[in-house]
Amino acid sequence: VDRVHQSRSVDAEPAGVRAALEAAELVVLQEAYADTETAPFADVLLPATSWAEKDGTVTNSERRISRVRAAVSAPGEARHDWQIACDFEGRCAPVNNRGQTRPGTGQVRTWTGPAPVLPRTFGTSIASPHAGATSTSPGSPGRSSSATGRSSGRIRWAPATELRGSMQTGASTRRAGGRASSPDGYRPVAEPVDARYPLRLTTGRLRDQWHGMSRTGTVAASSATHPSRASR
Amino acid sequence: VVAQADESIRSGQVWLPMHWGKRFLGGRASEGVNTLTSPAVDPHSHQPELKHAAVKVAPASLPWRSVAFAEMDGATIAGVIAALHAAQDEVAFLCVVPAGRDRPGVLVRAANEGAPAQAWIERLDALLGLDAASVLRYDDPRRAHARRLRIAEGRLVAGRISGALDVVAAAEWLRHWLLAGEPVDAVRRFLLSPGGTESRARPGPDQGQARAWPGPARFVVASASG
Repeated sequence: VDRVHQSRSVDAEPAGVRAALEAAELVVLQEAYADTETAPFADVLLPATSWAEKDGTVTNSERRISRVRAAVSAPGEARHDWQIACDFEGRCAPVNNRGQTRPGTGQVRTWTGPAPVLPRTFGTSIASPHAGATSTSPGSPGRSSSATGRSSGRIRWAPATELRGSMQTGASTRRAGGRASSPDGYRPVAEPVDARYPLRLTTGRLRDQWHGMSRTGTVAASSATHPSRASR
Repeated sequence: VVAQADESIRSGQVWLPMHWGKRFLGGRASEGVNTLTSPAVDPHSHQPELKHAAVKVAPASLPWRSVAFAEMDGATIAGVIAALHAAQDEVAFLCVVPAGRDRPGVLVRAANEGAPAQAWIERLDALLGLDAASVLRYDDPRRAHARRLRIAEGRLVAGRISGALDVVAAAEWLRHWLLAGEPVDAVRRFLLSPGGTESRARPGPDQGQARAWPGPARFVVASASG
């Protein structure tokens, strides 16, 4: 079982991901929209709650984990990520180290909220003292920690003990001298331009476009900044 | 893709919208933007290197072009995009995006080696509400030039221009009436003209837009076939 992150989805890296999804004997897709480019590969599609419907956490690309709570009820059969993950795990037959399956326990976990899941997933607790030290998450609509009495802070995965050097200090995202630094120092681009391929292609977001546009791509009002032509 | 010069892009660079897959930037000849980018990933975060790829730009020989737009209920946009997505392999290039902030709709751009199957064009027209009997039509089969325009309450609410690049470019002025939603009475007699409009005689209220119209347009009296 592997998870396909949005940035590594069929949109993001079509050739490799497409081949992998076609080769997989079973594709289980947890998705908020049924018409994404990944959806046709799914044998099982598990509808998930999305922003404002979701009770759980959101992890951004700098590994910042924000607690989010539902502002509206989930549509249709959509469920929270942690509910899907727990049910999925409970229904998988365990595999031993020789690849043989044992009968599944059939036991479905009966979590009643996301909190017990988090220590298993991240090795830390969203409710730990340092979690509450930061401000209210912008991703938790309409709630604040003072109003609800619940922690709605943000923490950064992974804890300091699990990562070395600058990774947990935030230095990896700072720019020095116009170059983004990383724990390994500066690396040149993977594809330098040459005489045969002399132009540098960069891809970027339009103002109101979000990633693969599974949501923003169907809303006309979010297309006000679409160029009249496909490239610029 | 349709390339366009842009002063805001540094010389030697080209730009494409991030992650646009076949759902929005498709067609038989397209696998989406990220087939052009490098599969290299960051060793720690595994994020793909989507911000730099070495490319070349070469002209594509796709003489048949089509531009279409239709206002529609915002709730139906996703369904229309999905239907066109399913039929995209009939043309070499197909870009389908929602458009229009105040009056939502779908904007379609297509290109192909020659005129695509008539069934595909009819399917497109049906999805955009351009198959009704009241739709204004102009056809020049010899040049594969076709116009479909739907007017409701005096406004242009949907249209399709198909043909060679020059006839599609000559109809670019219609876009103003589609997007601005102004009454079309003043230009009604030009709507099916295969050339352009007398832009100097009737500039739009938006002077900046009027200056951007292609021109001077060759004006040809239309002999509309339907």
